[in-house]
Amino acid sequence: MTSIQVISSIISGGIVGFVLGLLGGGGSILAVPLLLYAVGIQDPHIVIGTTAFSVAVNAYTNLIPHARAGHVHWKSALYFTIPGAISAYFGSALGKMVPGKQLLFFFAILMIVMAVKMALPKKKTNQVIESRDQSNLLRIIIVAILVGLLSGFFGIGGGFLIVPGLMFAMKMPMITAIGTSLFSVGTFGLTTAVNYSISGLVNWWIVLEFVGGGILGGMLGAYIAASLSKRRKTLNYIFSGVVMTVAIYMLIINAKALHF
Amino acid sequence: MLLKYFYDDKLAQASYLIGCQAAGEAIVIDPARNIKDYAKTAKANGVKIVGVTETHIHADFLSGTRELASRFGATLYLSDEGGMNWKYRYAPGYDHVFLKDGDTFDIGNLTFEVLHTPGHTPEHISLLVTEGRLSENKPIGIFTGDFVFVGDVGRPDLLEKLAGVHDSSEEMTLKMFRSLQRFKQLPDYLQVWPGHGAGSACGKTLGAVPSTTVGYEKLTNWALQYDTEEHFVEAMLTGQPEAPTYFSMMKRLNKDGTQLIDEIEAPNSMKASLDTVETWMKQGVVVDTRPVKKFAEKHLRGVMNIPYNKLFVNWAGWLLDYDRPIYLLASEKYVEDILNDLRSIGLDQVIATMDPNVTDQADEGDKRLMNYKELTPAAACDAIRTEQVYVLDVRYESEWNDGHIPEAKHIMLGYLPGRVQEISRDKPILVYCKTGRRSAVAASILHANGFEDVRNLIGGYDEWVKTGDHIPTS
Repeated sequence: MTSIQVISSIISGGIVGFVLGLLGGGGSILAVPLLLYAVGIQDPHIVIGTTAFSVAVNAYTNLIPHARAGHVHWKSALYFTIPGAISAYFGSALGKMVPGKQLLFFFAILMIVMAVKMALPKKKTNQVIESRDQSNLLRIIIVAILVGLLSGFFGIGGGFLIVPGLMFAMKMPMITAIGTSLFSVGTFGLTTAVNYSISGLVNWWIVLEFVGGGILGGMLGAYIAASLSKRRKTLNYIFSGVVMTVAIYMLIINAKALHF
Repeated sequence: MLLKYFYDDKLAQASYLIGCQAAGEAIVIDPARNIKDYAKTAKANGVKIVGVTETHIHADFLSGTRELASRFGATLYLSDEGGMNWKYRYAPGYDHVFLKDGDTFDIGNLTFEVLHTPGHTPEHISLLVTEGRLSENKPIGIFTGDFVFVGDVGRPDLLEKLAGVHDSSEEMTLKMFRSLQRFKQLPDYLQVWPGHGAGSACGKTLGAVPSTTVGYEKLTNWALQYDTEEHFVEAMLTGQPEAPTYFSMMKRLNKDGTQLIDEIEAPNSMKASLDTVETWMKQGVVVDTRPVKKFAEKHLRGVMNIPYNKLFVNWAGWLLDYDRPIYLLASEKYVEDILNDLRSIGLDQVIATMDPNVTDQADEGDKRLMNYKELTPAAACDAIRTEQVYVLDVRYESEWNDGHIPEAKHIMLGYLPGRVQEISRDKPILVYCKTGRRSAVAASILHANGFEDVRNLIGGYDEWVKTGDHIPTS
């Protein structure tokens, strides 16, 4: 690896950590394009395996303060994480089999979905579920399996799906859903990373540089977030715009490669 | 026949289990959310809860109807009167029967006849009970819910005040008048089993006796003494207490259905740590449940004091938001009871709890610690004369109208969090209520909102009047 690559992967990690600290989520979606186009890793599968591991480290680190504040519902966390992790394993096995360019094409679509979701106004949190046929447990397992599958396939944590998933399935308040989701995000990411690393698809040096940069960026992001909290909406729009732009770029170049 | 009475002291709310031992079947009327007592009583008496009903969509507590239907597979018997806006939206998920005026249904050997009695709410029904067949026997009693209480009737102004249905109070009062004319036609011997007792905010002069008869109410109930509509309307709409803010949320949850108690994961019990409490304060509201005296001596900056006593649930309903996380400072032995109280009005979002002795972790002089002085009436009088304190009265409007300290500003405790900006920040604040307990909650809210110098009047206005003959009151 060249020294330029080392520096750029530290900076990329810093950007991801910064966004995570600033917005409280969504940073990992940028990790894939950054590793691909800024650091210049050629193999999309290595990119996904490497981000999955970084995502796991990030999530577990963030889990600690949440657990200390009592914001993790451990019982629900286990109910959600165990079926989800099994499903993430299958998802990642599937992801490994899909050719790289196609995987990136789908990934770009996922990014667009996320960008749109971020730009949309947040809905009120109190949902009412009028059904007695599904027990809570069944509901949580179904949601966990779906989220785990997606998370494993793309090598993402899936926090943006898990938080509403927990709020829907376990009717949790937002703050506990965030705290509890970090356990699942970490475990799903780790499952995917382990599965990829078995095939040698994790670049450990980049993990180290990326995570190191991420910690620095995260602290900076959290620091700035405190003083910018009123402009959170604007920040969301900016981030959403960036993700959207990158996604469209990825869509175009990978579609070309697929001869669409 | 089996009739059991259940009474929740804190919410002044009555519910009933009525059944037929011969058939081994029973129905619960107006259940509270915690259904343990109904289950226990049914078991002890060898009956199965096969039905559950409510007289109307409640506003003051979370109904246990869905809990009973889920746990025992009980059939729902619910009102279908009152128009489109007042339908039970969760009912289709269960075995259910919608009831119209004049409908009847049986539980074992008992026959229930439905009377549509609007006034308190549009969909309100009362249930006339007869042992055996209607054609052969006379009814024994009537479940009136929030229609007729002992000595009072259900207030018709909540709809306007809570659901924002404009100018509905007068229309609802007229409906109440007509329903009462119907009530008067019932035989005098008939027993009356109401939904509330003294202290409920669903009326103004509710009696403390659990049951009554139609004849006795016709003689003594103020609301049954009117023969003309206009006089009745005037009497009905004056002197109603403030409508608690949480009532509108209750109405919505009771109409749409809410989560079952078993589905709520218990809050985490955390080790005492000042840092954790500070994290909590950024996320939501931290409630210190210690008694007033202890809180006054020493408490953490930013926490709200709602002492755990009989009035806890009422003030929790007034002061806590449904969409903000709640953290409790409460000793282990009270946590379960406190959670039950909060859940009885649907405050399910308690995230974590901690022992209140965390307060002792801060050293003397720590900026995070606060306290407030308690003043005797004499000292308060001095303070008003010399120091120019700002006097705040947090009692109900009716109490305020009956007399108050002349210099005082009136903001009822329940409205205080939304109106703190009306209070001057230049002077120390002397806050009072009737006895000194509500004003203690107010003092904690003022502290949490950045007012540094707050004082509480010991013994409240009662003591002020008793000891301060020399002090002019208005």
